[in-house]
Amino acid sequence: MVIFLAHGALGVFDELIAITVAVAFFGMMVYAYIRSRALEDADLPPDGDATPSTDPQDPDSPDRFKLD
Amino acid sequence: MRRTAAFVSLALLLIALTLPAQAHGFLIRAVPPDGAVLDRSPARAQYWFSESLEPAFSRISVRGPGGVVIAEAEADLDTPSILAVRLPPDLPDGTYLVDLRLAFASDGHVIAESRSFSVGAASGAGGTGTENLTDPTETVWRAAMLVGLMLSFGAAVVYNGVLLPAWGSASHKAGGLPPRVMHRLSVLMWTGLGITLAAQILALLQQTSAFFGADFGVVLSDRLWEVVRTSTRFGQVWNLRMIVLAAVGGLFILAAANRADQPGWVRAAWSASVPGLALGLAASSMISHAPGSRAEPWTALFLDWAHVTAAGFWAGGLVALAWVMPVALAPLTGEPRRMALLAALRRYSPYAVGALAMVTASGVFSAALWVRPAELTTTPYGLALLVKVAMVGALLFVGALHHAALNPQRWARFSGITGHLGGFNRTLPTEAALAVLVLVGAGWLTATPVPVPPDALTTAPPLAQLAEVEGYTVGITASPGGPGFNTFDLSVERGGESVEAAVMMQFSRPNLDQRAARVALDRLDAGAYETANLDLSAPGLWWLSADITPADGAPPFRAAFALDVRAENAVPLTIPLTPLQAAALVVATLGVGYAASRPARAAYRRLGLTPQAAFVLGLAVVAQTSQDYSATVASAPDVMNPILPTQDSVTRGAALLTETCGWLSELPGWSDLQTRLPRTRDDELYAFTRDGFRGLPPCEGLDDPQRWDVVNALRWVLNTP
Repeated sequence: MVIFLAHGALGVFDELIAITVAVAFFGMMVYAYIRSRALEDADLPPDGDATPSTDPQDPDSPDRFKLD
Repeated sequence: MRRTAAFVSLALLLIALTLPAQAHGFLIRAVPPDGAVLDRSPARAQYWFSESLEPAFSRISVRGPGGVVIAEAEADLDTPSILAVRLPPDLPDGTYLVDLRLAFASDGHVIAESRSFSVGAASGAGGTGTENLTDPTETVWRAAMLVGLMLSFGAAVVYNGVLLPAWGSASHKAGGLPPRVMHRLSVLMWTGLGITLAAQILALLQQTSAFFGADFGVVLSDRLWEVVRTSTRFGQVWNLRMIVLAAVGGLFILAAANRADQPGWVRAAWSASVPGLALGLAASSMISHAPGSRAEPWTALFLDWAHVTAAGFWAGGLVALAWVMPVALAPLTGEPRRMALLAALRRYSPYAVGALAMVTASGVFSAALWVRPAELTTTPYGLALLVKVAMVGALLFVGALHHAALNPQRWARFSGITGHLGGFNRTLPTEAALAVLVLVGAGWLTATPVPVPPDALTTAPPLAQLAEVEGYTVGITASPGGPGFNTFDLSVERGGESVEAAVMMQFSRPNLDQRAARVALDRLDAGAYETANLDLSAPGLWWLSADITPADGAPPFRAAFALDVRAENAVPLTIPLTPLQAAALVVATLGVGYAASRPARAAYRRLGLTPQAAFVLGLAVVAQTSQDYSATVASAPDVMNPILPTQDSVTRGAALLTETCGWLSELPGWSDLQTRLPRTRDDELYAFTRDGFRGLPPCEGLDDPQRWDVVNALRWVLNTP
């Protein structure tokens, strides 16, 4: 068994699992970055779409509210 | 400014109080037992701990009656939870002090312990004590580390999961939110990253100082920190966290530098920072106490990460919302202000309830690692835990009430309750007050000592047997005599006199036809031989064959022992989950499953599997894995050897081997058999005697016991030069 890190406290494969998890999270970072760049502002409403509801009891009232 | 400072101070305090309870590993078995008075000099002193140690920074030394160090050693990489040292032979009567310096690999805590034993009669000052070598600096950096990570993580998840969906607008190119909101969030993010970086530097200095017992000046001037950074588990996790910080910080610096030309990078940096900071929190769990758990360490580690991540969302998210809201809502008044607030809270509330549920379930699991149900009402730690659980229950109730009231369809049902209590303006501060109480309870829990497990330092008499063979008396003692690491002491006498000899020893497990490697015992003194290993891997019947070659030229002989290895003699390095832990694990798993259900469903749809196909596939994978594991680890022999390989059995078999079987070393199959003997099981040897083997003829006319005698003799003859 190749020891990648200093030594394991969790068993023979802990080094491998730890590195796999770290790589997976870095992969998720890259994916989140690329996906966000690809979306740009397509998922955000343009000006004027998010308007305040006049009836807070309305179940169809928008969940969005444009601040400015 | 003063209000801001007060707010930040309160926020840091609150998050710091969510620190999980820390506890050290502990001694669970000592041979010789602490304070024991022994009749004869022991061959070794060995100590089992509940967690792995950092080998390079953990030491054992034994001081004799005069205070002189007579033996010392470091931990072994192969058995990192054990400190053992071989003692000089024939120790004079007196009391011996054992100094243990322990650096636990899981959390890097360093402890000094003293144990003692006496030979002959107790004399001089013995004593047992524990000195905690961790210093307050460790508390500071651990608190700062979590505070920093939770601030940044809370800001990132609130941006991505709450503020952007609630208030996002394409008119704000850089980040989708008004600049004043983005500025506040950025301040929080950079504050968190800055605190984490400072904590990182302090952590490396403090941990190096603790490992080497040196002050910060020496740590810096001799570059000792570089040794810890590259050669310990703590150092590797430290490196990982620095990479995470560099990656997240780099993304934000790039986004800020290109804000005008590439405003889309801002939102991308905030998106990518969520998994990055979650990994940073996971790195904190890796050097917490969770990996040192004796029950399901991987599960404990995962749930510790889930705990800090959920707490990061809850506490860090609350801080982010409280920090952003005043500025975000400042231009609004009346109904628009209320609607903007509701839009954000409707997003945050369900996540907060889920996070609280996860914090609760994982907290119960983690707490149950260190406290038993019976100790809940009888120990300070248990009482603190109960109080905290009660407060969390109340907090969950109020939070759930708010969550339900945010739904307009349920508003009417709950508006009566909230109206009776004074509306959201009153109940929201109530929730905040309960949250403060919970966090204070967490701080109390952190400061309360963890009760020592009842199985710690239990002792059981070692396994010991005597055998009379050819006029010799052979004794074997296995300490502690349970599955796991054992020390084996073998004595050889003839007529009351110690016998100088060479001794080879081999363990076998007859019901599974498995055998360990043959090992040579170390000579301690004339007639006293010793070794220590992990050969006894499970409870049950084990055979020990000791092949003894006297130095005076007398014929070699075999002493065989049947040892009943009992689980209760084992040093319990692992323990099963309690029902409470199992229940908490189920709840936490359901929570994680719920959180992961959307991406899981998407993957499931993408694979295009039917439910039946997915079920059958899962069942097949589980069945095959289980079958492979059983076949690999514990396959039973076709026929089991019922004859202990004693000298008598070996002598009978050797005679049959040549006279009845006609197996001679000159025959062609003999050397082949000798070569493959170490990997040949008894049932295969049995088959060879019945059917013949590569030029060795079948042994005709033998009954079963005789055939097994031949098998035993084969191992003896082929192993004896």
